[in-house]
Amino acid sequence: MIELFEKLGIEVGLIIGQAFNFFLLLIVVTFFVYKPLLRVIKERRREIEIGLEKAKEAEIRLSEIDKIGKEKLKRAEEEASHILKDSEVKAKLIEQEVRKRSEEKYRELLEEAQRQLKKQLEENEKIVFAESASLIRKIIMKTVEIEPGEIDEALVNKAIQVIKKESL
Amino acid sequence: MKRKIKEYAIALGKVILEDKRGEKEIKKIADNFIRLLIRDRQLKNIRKILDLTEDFILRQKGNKKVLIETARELNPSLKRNLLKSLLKDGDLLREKINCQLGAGVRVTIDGKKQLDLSLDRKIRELFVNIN
Repeated sequence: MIELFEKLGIEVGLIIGQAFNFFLLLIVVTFFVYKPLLRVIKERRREIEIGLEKAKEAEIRLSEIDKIGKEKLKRAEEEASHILKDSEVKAKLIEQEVRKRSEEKYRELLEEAQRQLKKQLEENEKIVFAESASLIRKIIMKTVEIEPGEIDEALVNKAIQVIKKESL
Repeated sequence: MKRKIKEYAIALGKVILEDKRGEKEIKKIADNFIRLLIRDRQLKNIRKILDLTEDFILRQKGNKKVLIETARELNPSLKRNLLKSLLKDGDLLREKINCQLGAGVRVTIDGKKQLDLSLDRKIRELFVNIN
């Protein structure tokens, strides 16, 4: 074998030396370059995986938050709708109450006005009657003053009859 | 002690009615009575007291006070008939012309009893009935 290498022009010693150098270099590279590089790559990969997991969690939480937000929005809309309906019902009730009170007030005012009018008419009637009575009285008195003797005589004679009858 | 007006009137009436008194004695009674009123500070009420005294004396004698109101002077024969039917001896008569009556007569006896046969009353009754 050695002879063959010699015939081929290959020095065994040199090859062994080079092989030794190669293994030495391999050991050095393995311990000082390859392993730290591999460690860095592993750490980096782990960090990326953690980041990806966190991103995934964040996405899930975001979707949950979004869901909660939508639910809350829906609930708020329902509440708003409910409040709106309640308000409408209350507004209708208030409107009915106000209308009822207004009608009652109107009726009261109308009745009061009718009472006042009736009272006024009665008062006017009384005034007219009193004035007419006064006027008629004056006319009768004036008429009597023209020829009072007969009326005086008639009334006094009646008075005499009453006096005699009642023995005053 | 403060006395009532009616007590003065009754006292005066009783003194006047006691037996028959002469004019001189009556005058003395009147003087004394006025002095009493001055002392009791009742002189301001003398009109009321005298009216009440008059009523008391008339009542004691069985007489009455008659007020006759007419719108105008009545003719004498009519008036005579009225007085004849109304008055007896000792009654006190007062007459008053009251134009408000219009016609007829209104008789008031002792300030209470009233006989109203005036035109004014007739008209008022007429309007009361209409109303």
